[in-house]
Amino acid sequence: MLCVFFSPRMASGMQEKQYTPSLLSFFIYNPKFGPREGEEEKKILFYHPSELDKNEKIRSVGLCEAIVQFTRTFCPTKPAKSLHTQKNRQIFYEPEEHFWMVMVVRNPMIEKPNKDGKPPTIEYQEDEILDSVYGAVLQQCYSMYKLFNGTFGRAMEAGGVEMLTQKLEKFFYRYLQTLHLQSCDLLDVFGGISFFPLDKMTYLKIQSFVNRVEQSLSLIKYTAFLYNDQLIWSGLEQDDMRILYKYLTTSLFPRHTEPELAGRDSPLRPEVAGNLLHYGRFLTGPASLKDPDAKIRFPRIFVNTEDSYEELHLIVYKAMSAAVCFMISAAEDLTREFCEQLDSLVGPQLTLLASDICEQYNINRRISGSVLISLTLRQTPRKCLALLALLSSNKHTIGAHIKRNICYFDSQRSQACALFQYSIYTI
Amino acid sequence: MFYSRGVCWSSGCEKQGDVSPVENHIHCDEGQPQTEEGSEAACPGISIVTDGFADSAPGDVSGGPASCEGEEHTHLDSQDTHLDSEDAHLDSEHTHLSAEQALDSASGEESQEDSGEFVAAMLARSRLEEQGLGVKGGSPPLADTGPSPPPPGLHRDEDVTADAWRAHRKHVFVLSEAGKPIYSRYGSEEALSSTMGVMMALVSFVQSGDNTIRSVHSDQHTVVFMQQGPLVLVSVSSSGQSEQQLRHELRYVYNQIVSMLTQASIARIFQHKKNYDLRRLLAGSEKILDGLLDLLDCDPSFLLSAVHCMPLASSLRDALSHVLQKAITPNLVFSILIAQGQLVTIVQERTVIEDARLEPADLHLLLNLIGASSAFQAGEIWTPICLPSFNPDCYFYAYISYLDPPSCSVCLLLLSTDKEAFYAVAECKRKIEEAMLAQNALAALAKARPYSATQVGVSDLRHFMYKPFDVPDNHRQLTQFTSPEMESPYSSEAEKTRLLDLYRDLHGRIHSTSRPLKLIYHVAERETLLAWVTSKFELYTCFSPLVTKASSINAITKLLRWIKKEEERLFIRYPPKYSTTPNPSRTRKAPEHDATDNGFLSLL
Amino acid sequence: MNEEYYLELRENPVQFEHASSVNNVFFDEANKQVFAVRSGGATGVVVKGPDDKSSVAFRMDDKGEVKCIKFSIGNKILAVQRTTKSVDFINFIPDFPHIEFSHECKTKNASVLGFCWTNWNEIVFVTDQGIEFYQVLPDKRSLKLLKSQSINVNWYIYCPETSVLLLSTTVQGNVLQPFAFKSGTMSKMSKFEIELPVVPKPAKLSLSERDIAVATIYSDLYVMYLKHHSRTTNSPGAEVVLYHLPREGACKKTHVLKLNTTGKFALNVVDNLVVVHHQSSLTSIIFDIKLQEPDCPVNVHQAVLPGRSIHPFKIPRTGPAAAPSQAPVICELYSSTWSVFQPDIIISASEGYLWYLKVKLQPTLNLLQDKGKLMDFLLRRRDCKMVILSVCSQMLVGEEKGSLPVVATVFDKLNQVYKEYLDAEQTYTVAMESGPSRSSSSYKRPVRTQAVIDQSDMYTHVLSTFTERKGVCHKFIIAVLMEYIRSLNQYQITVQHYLYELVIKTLVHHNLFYMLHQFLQYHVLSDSKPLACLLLSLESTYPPAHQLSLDMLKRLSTANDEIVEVLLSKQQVLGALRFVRSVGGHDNVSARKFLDAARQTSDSMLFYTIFRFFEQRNLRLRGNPGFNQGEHCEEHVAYFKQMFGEQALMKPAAV
Repeated sequence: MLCVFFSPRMASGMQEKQYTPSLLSFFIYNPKFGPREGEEEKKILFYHPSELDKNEKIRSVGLCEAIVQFTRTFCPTKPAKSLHTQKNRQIFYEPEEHFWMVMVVRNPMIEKPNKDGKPPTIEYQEDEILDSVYGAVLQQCYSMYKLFNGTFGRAMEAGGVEMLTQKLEKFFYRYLQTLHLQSCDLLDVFGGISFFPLDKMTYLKIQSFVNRVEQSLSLIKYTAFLYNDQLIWSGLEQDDMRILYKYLTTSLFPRHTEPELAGRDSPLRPEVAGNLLHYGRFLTGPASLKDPDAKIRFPRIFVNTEDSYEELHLIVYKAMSAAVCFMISAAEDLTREFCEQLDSLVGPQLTLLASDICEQYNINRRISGSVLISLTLRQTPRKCLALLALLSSNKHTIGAHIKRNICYFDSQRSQACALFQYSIYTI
Repeated sequence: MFYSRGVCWSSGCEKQGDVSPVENHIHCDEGQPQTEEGSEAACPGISIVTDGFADSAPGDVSGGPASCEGEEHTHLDSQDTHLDSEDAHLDSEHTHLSAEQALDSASGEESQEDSGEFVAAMLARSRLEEQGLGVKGGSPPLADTGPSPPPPGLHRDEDVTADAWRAHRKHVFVLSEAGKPIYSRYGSEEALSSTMGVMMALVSFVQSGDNTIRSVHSDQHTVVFMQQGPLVLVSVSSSGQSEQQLRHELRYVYNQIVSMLTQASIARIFQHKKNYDLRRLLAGSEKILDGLLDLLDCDPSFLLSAVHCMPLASSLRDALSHVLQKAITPNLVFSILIAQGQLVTIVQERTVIEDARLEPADLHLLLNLIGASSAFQAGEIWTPICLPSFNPDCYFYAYISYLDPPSCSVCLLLLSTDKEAFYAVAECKRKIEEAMLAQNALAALAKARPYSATQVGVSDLRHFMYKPFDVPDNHRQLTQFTSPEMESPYSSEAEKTRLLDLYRDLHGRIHSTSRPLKLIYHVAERETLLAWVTSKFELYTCFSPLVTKASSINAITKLLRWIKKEEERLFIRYPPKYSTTPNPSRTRKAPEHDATDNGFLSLL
Repeated sequence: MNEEYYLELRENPVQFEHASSVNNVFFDEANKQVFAVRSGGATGVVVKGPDDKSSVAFRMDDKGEVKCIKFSIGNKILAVQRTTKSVDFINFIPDFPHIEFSHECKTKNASVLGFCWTNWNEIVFVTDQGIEFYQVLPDKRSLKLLKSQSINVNWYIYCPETSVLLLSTTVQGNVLQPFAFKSGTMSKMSKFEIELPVVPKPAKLSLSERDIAVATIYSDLYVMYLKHHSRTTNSPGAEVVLYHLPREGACKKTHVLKLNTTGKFALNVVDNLVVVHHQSSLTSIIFDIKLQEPDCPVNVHQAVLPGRSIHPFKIPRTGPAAAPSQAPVICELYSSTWSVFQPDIIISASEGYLWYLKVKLQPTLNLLQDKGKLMDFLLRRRDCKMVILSVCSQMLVGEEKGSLPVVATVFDKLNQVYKEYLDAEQTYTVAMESGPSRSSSSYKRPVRTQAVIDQSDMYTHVLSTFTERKGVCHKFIIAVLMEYIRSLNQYQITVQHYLYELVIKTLVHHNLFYMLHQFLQYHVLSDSKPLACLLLSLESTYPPAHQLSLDMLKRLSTANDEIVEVLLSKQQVLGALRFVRSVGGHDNVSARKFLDAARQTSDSMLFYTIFRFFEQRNLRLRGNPGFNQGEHCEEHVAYFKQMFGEQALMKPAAV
């Protein structure tokens, strides 16, 4: 009886609106650039949304500076990382000295409709967002920028503030649109690389394939090999690979999936000048080698920015589900001949390899995949606990991944085990 | 009026028995000339208090606030006369946020020797006596083990730019909306007024965006902001506690202030003068806040918001309760017996308890008040005190006296609603004293010892905290918890704090608003902890790190069984009651929905 | 130039008095003995065998010119043919009458072409009308006919090692009839015909015994026919045709060796290689009939290597006249006085020398560019190991550094042979275990030829030196090592840990830790204790190595003690104890060991924990928390009291 009476209420309860976290603003500033009164605007190197009123921009930058200054009074070396307010979350990150990146995220909220036409009451879920996750997202923004543009500092040296602001505009205008804040989770924090499970023999085959190609095309400096969007081999150091992997899997590959999706792999290529038939094709660079006046240009990436600071061409070549990245010093200029040579050399071998892997994979299905969490995992046990708390709202499988890989960070091993126990109970 | 002041100085020492207030007055002055002037100037301070009551005294509930408003106004005007000097530049500071300005205002205050509030005055005296007696005995559980607070002087004139100052584990600041410093745990408010200025700037900046600042996080610190009416409280902590917990602590700080001034009067003061320097009213009471903060760091009862009562043979506890029950007088609402800083028993006025329960939070404030100052060790104290959770706007009158001078470990605390009831209540105390003497209860209490985890007889179990929910007539009950003494390997200060931090961490996780947990098994580096919350209890246990999951679960079942067995000894199962209402006019009592009417007013 | 000679005459040849008007020289292929018969034997017969021991000297009465003279196997009986009718015998068995006796061939008016010993007392007479198989009875000084076969014979060839007798029959003589002899029995094998370049009209004997040789190659018996160039046939030059002669079944033409030239030739077989000497060009070429996979019934082969002369041979001056100052005489090679015998014998009667021919492998390295082919070639040779290894090291360094695919094929070829041997070993041992009864007969222990190049060979002679070499790009080093490991895996050969260590050291040396980590992740470097220890040692340079090593030890599941030691050494006393417990050893471990470790950490909390743990163990095991005398924990007990007080000690009651 009572239930019957209440049920309509519940129904109305259903109508509350859920709002996922969303990007309010994103800006980069350098306090050294506009030290004097009235010059504050000069500090701002990039601001999204750009259409915002100038003073508003200056105000928000001012707040960040104030917060950072304030926390320095208590620990000069460890300034603020984030600011929590009722309505939003601000994440601060200083990737290079005096260069600050700030991301403002609106807390998720629930809009509860009120009866008799009162405006709906809005409830902010202040603790939903985890600093660690969005902190990582922000750092990723920087790493991604750095991957394709190099450091802020270099840009300054090269072309002063103008160049820097241009680069920032050009990059972040597009990149910010690809941020999916609502779907950020644990993996963003670890910057996890998913490795493809493979038997030893096939792996060795891939090894010798890579080595042979690198020997015969000596221009190639680094190679990375992926299958089904999972990494199998990387000649790049891990930190660079992690961000490159992020780019490949979240941006480049999705844009080129069509042929694979269309049942059997990409259309078989007509025999080219004595080539074997193969499925190979470039994902970066020239759309087609046939077209004589198609420009031979590949995206540039920057790696090892800490020491050697290398600028490289990024060639991504794919056959069926196997993709290879060849990285070549940007000093070399790549001719059509080179591309053809590469195509005819790699295409057939890669095609064979791809089907080998596919075969092997189907045989050893039982080997389950794993997310390798950065070996140089800098998470404190506390943070991990927080992340695992987040996990509890996530799929159990991820929990399992954590357990397997977290053991790599040995100093905290005991915690690591504890974490897993912990996740069992919470999931 | 003058008379009420007399009471406050009355009965400095027993033997003189019934002596004239004036004598006493003089007698204590020689100890401390400036209180003379202090007490003179105290008049307005007192008037705030007493008037507040005078108005609400006649049973007329509704009329209370309105008329008191009027009174207030006229009264404060009179005060302005000697505040003029300050007004001149203070009025121009309506939005004073910049550091310099804040400093000005601060220095502007320095001249003001005008600290004449009732409690404050009383404490001023206690501070003096302390030099002689020092702190001993009368501190709550763990307080004596907790970092014993160095004499406030030390902290006050710390160099706020030194690393030592930065290194403090937890800073707490209280400031007014106008950015005026009110309290800082370390370093003098003056020296910090610029920092506090910045804090206020941040708060109001965010506010201007129709938003509220909650906290700032860095790798080292968590900074939590809390606004309570005209006050802003800030905690800067590197303890790794959750934001929630820090906020919880700030609320205690706020309540402690309220307990001395009442929320209403604080509001009134700042309504009238946005940039009023509240330190004038709190002068001398920093010590209480210091004490509170030290307790917060080392006493889990705050974390669990439950009372830790002294384990005692139920027969003895009942006997003592009976003694308290017998010694009553009209308007007596709570009789509380404390030994070694732990609750022995509490007897409550039946009707009052039916209206509102005594929150552990309030009891903690009382305990802290007693513990924070050894003043009470000398004879009897009669002081107005507000219990914020009970009613933030009104005063009780607390009679505090130790029953076993000079060792001062057993303390009697009687709360009355009648500010004139000093002698009546003092009389109750004598009765209680006699009765206890007759039963030789003091000796028995002196024998009482905290228990040890080994008594549970579970290997690997090192320590635990147990907070039951399934106590009889729960809604009236004072929430309690039990916990063994921290023995080796947790006997050192550092280890105690470490363990408490681990508990805090688990507690934070269990009570996380967004992702609460029911059960945590946490293998830490040096111990394994298991926290478990059910509808019946909340339990935190600490095991040897070599315990296995199976055996720990096993251990817990054993532990629970043991506690059930010891229940009578560990908890106050059925808190005794008495009836002090002269006229049982309870039937006509106003319904409870009105917040200002918290029952006991209507009794008067 | 010098390293271009891939053929040479072996050292210290057999020397004998050179042929002359007074001295006739005979050679017996069966015993490889040279007979120098001076004036019909009256002035002495000197027999020189391959080794000095078997050289004999004796006299015999001169009963006319000697046609043929041979000892039976083991120099028991000497047979001498002086007439076309009969053969004379002389007993050489000690304490047997040493008197000559003679035997006439039983076939009327047949003339004896020659004879051959098939055993110490069995002999075959070959006459123009057939063969007669006798047993010699030295005591009775008579012969007993075992078997005979009448057939027209032009000439014959006997192959001692297989004791097969080949008779040339028919008018043209190109139909060959083989017979096989075995202790007292004679079996006729299926006859076959040699294809002549031109069939002469009218028919006349057109196959001379000089053009036929018999030898075993790769343990098969072949009849080699030197087919001379003829204008009519459009063949560019002469060729050697090989007929495979099986014990049972028909003889088939299987291989043709193209000589691409004309002139005088002679054949040898050395180390399963067919060596063809060409007199006019003074060069020799070699053929390996296995070098190309048999695709059709008749395989045509080209010379493996370009023609080269035999290495010049110097004859030291002999006799008292000889003085060191005088340079030795360079002896004439390919001289017309040379006669060549199977398989590898060259005799110069004029100079009185018998040489064994020998193939030198070292020069082939430079003569054979195709490394794959070179490997196939070398792997079939007798003394190939060092050469092969030098090929490997050579292909990894210097400018003529091989491309990875080449390296890969070479490794694969090596490992294939290696694997075959391992399998043979395996099956053999299995058979042995399963009971020698039947196996002993059916299996014989597989011989390990030099061609079996195992991992330690590769490691010591090639890889270790290669990786230490300066100026080799580390990328290439790793690539090579991975290729080798790949190849081993491909043939399911378990890789030895020292190869992994090589990989790891190289990676570490170039700070390629991330690569290393990936390898370990995919278990390319299989788990082993030595490897785990190596990883441990890397911790200082690469911290995660420590954990990797621990995980490896754990996976090994045979290294529990090591794990405990490692953890203790890292002061991870709790971890160690937890682990011991997890493997159920916690009741037996030494309390003192752990307490010591805990003490060293100077972490009193830890010490407390460990101490309690063992107190409880004592309680559980002995009903009393105290430690036994034997455990030597007194000092620790004292320390515990001092740290936590007497009362902290566990009470026997508390259970």
